[in-house]
Amino acid sequence: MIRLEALSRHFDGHAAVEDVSLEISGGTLQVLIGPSGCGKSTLLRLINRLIAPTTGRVLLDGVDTATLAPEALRRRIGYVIQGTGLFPHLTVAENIAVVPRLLGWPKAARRQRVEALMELVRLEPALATRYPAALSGGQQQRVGIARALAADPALLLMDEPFSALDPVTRRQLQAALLDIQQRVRKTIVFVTHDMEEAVRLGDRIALMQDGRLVQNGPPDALLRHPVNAFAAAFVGEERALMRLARHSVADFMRTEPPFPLAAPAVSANLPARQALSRLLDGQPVLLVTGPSGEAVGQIALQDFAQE
Amino acid sequence: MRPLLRTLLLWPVLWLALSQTAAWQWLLAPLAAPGQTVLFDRTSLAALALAHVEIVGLALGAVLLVALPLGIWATRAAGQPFLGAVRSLGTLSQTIPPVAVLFLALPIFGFGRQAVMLALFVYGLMPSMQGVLTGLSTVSPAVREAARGMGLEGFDLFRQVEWPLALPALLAGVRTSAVLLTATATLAPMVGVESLGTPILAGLAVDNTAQVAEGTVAVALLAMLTSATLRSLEHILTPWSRQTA
Ligand SMILES: Nc1ncnc2c1ncn2[C@@H]1O[C@H](COP(=O)(O)OP(=O)(O)OP(=O)(O)O)[C@@H](O)[C@H]1O
Ligand SMILES: [Mg+2]
Repeated sequence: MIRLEALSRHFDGHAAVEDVSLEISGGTLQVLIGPSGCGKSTLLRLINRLIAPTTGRVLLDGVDTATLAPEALRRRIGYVIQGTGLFPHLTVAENIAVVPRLLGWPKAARRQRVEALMELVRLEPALATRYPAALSGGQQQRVGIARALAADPALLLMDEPFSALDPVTRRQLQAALLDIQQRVRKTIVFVTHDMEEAVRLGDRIALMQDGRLVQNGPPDALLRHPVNAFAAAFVGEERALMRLARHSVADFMRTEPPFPLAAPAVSANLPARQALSRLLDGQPVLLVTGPSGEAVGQIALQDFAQE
Repeated sequence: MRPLLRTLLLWPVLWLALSQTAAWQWLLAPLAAPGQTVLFDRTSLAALALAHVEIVGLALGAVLLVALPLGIWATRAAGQPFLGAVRSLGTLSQTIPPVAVLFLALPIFGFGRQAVMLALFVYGLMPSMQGVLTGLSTVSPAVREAARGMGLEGFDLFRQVEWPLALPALLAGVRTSAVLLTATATLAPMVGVESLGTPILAGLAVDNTAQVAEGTVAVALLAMLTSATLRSLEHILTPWSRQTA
């Protein structure tokens, strides 16, 4: 559990983070979102104490982080830096094993951990001996994530980990993160300035503006009830569509028979957006099928209109 | 390991080549005027080369002894205010012609090794100094932040991240210094110290082209091999700087 108490950080009189109070309970994926320069990265650095607050405190499981040794604190917190920051002189495996090595893990344990993590983030084992310069951008970001997870930290700070990726790779990595989050529940503070990404990933989304916290809550709350004009503008005109990012066909389908067995079939766990797209393409109705292909419902455009 | 081994094996080969007096005699004979001795005969070419290497090695050692600590200090927080001054010092040192240093050193040290060392040290300092400074000050901020974010600070940060990342620029600087010193050490005989410059200066004095060529070719071979050796050392010390996507 993390608690930020009236946290501020000023640089030469200018406030990068101003009076932010935020509580993040264990196992939550907390998104920080806001326009460029609003203080997201600064807030992350305040949490792992790469910078010290001007005023306010950070409590980690009830302990004020100012009372802890910064190096030891940081080895307990996974950190995926904006722009990967892989060590160019270390191989993929060595990059991933940095913190375990600092913590004095024996060699065999480190190797095992590296193998497991590479599998977790879907990196081919053959890449283990490559240097970062010989990886694609997406592969580098996967290594960055594996590296942050290496010592199995309970808290993970991720600063725009999927930026500068093509939409397909980005979606893959988002899915991988959700998958990892399901299997090894972490507290994650995830920075992005992409609203769609925030909605897809976040259990809660905190919106920032000029160093201040504007609104924090579950994605639906932010999308349905933005607290002010800035929040409404940031969420954007497409907010109704955004909500679909978290839903699958199953959330909208009608389950009363009879089913339109002749219509094209889609799986019940297909993202709702994709079903909507096909309906907008001119398909009047879709048959929804369950895990073993049996008909479980149907979906048409008007099903999206109801709450 | 392979490329370094290969260049290291070339050193005894060079030694053997320099010892083939008959061959050198045959090769350079066409350049000698009638009645001139083709080869410098007071000291063998191989012995001159050895003396040459020794001078260069000592001078390079002195350069590193100064450039490394000074460069490291100037790139730490404590030395940062002096970074500009250290950089200028390196540049300034190379603007002084080594011949001038040789003669300025004469009244202090007299003829002999010390004057040569001083001249070579001053002249060879800049590339190494520059290499150390460039290497240590260009570690990317993202990499530094990632390292600190993982709990690396102070000496650990230096040893595990900054130093290895500085190596390519640093070693390239050292290589430049070494080649420069190999060429410049030909001036040593001006203050009475033997080197591969000895046949060159002796040849120039009596208009003996063959002897000038003898020294020049030997220096060139030595410089090339020095450069190749250091290059292969860079190769094995920084394997990561070669692989790209
Ligand atoms: N070390 C620093 N010194 C001075 N000003 C800084 C420093 N770090 C951040 N700032 C300033 O603080 C503000 C917030 O920066 P921060 O990097 O936290 O923004 P951000 O929300 O992460 O932006 P982006 O989305 O572009 O990454 C900016 O105005 C920035 O210029
Ligand atoms: Mg940022």
